[in-house]
Amino acid sequence: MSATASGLRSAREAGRRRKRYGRGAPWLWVVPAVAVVLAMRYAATGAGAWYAFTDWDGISTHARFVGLDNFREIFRDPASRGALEHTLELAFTFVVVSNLLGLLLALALNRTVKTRGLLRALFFAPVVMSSLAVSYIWQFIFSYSGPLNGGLGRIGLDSAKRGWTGDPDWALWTIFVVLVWQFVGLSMVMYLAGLQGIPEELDEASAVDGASTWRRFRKITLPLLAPAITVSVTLSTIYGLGVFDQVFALTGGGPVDASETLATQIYKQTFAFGRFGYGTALSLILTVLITVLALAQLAVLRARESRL
Amino acid sequence: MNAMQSSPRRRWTNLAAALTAVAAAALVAGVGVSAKTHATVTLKVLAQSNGQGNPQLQSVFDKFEKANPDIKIEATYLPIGETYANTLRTQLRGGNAPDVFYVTPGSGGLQSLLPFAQAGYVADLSKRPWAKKIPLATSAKPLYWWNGKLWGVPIDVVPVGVMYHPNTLSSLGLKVPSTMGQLLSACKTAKSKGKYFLNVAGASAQNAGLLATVVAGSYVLANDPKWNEKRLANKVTFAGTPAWRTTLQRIVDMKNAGCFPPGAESNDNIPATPGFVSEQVVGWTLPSSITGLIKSFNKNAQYNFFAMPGDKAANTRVFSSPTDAFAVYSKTNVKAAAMKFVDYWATPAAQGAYGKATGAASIYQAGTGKHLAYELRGLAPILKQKDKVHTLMSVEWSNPAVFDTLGKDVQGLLTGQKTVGAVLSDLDAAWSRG
Repeated sequence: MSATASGLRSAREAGRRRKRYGRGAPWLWVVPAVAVVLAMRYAATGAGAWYAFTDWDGISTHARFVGLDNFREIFRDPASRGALEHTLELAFTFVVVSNLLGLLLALALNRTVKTRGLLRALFFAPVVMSSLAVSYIWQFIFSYSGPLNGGLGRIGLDSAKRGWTGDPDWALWTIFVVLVWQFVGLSMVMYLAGLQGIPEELDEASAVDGASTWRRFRKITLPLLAPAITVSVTLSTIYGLGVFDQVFALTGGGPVDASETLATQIYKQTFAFGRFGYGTALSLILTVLITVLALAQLAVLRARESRL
Repeated sequence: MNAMQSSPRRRWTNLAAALTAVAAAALVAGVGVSAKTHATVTLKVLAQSNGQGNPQLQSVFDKFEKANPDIKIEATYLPIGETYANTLRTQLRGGNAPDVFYVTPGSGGLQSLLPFAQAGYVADLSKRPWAKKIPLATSAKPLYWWNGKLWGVPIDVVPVGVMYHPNTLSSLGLKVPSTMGQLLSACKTAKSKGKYFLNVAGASAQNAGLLATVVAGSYVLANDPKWNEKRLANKVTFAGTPAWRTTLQRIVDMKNAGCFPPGAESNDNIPATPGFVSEQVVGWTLPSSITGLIKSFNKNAQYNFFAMPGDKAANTRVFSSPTDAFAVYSKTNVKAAAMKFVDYWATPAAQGAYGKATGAASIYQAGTGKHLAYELRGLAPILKQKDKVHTLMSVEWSNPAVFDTLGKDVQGLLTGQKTVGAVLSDLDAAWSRG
């Protein structure tokens, strides 16, 4: 009774405040924060984007306006086109494999295994390690005198030995292996969180009704995991498209651009060759690519979630 | 008893307090006087590191401080390459650059001197007493002088060649090759005895590019010493120069002769080092300024250098260039101290001490072939022949992408991704982007 009275009092006070200050008052409190975000993030980025239309070299006092020349060169240059293709190829395979493996691990470590706590920690550990440190360790593993070739030699596969990161056919896939190895733990945790939210009763009831394991997974687990799938797939897409550390440490984009991605190409053009205008144009393309793909993916997955 | 009345104890206390105050005042005054006498200027210096800091440079900085007690050097060392260049460029643009900073001469790199001079970031040194006396090779002058002014002080001369293990070479029954044919034959012999003749860090554009540049010296410059000038004037191209085609073909020949250790194409500098310092590989194309660092990995190993030969012994050329320098920030607040610093680096004593520490040569010694580091004894005879000594070609090139393309494409020759013709086209394309 008293709670109701107090609630009514608060509502009346809120009504009075609205009359006194107008409906826009709460928005005024947001203005400083929005202004700071707009100025520090979007205005600064927008101002930086202007350099994409110049030939600025990073040191001259003036930047010359060149219109769309940088963008034209990007689509003419085989190295930049190759970087775009590698980025998409790497991101696509990374999203598919890391999510499948993450889901499998989550299913395996959800309930049944006794040592699941330890195993979850072990699989998650690479996520918290520095990408660069991890990549340098893998560079040693992939080197000609490294343990991978050592193992191949011991099982009589000497002909398969190679400098993996310097092999044009394998360089991109060495990056893929390291990416999956490092990200799969995070994907697993996201799926585990989703699985923990599915009531056990549903699964048990369908088992009593005689549904097979596959059917229970297909009809109960997977639909209820839809929000986790949306988050994991979207995050891994963004991560896969922007990958830099692993490429930089493992292959440097080589051999001869065989593993170049947009992010490493941006770095090289901007900071190694001093072509800030061209590098900014590449950055704009990568930003648009990530935004469009992530939003499209999000829209598709959300629509699927609501259908389920 | 009146609280204000003075007691003997209070009087002693007051006296002690007064004396303490006087002593403190005297001390403060004394400190003031002392500080005034030994006022120090802090000179901020940004330099390249080679691993952990740069002990070789630091040893000369220490000597400078000893000779100039009123100047304190605050040195920051950053890894050479993009990290160094971009930090320096950001500081220059931001107006908070160090008073003195390391640069490379010419305009072919990101930390090259002349673009900084053209943008107004470095101070004119042409009025320094040593400016016109320092024995800078004629070919190197355009790398330091622009618009009639001198913009940097060279701190050493770095001969580049094949650093090798003389004991390993003789244990294989080999001699220093004086022609490319002998070198290719030595590669086959070394391989048949379980060693490799030549190292290359194929994944390092710097090292792979250096190998190609050194070979080009004994082909391109042996054929046309003015080739670089002609390229800068767009009178020649890479693709249109047969000697460049031969240069790149010789690298393919080296690969086919088994000169390089397996996996060389995928090695960066660090993974490539153990094979060389453990004497599994006989030689490695390196700048002599890295000798001190290489020696530190295996103190028992002996080293010498030889010049990369051409098809004929008479064609052999060597690069020896003043590739390290310091420049003064044009807006420094401590210009007098900065000028003292560059004046010091222009002396034979400072350059001699630095050369001794790194394995490079002092600018005063290089041309004579005398008093060189022990490891440079193999290059001494050719360093005396001025017509066979050139400034490293790449420092004069139009932009950093040309040398990077050369290094990257040499890796492509090793992996089979590139043909000689494709590399030459790539080099011309990279040149025109500058």
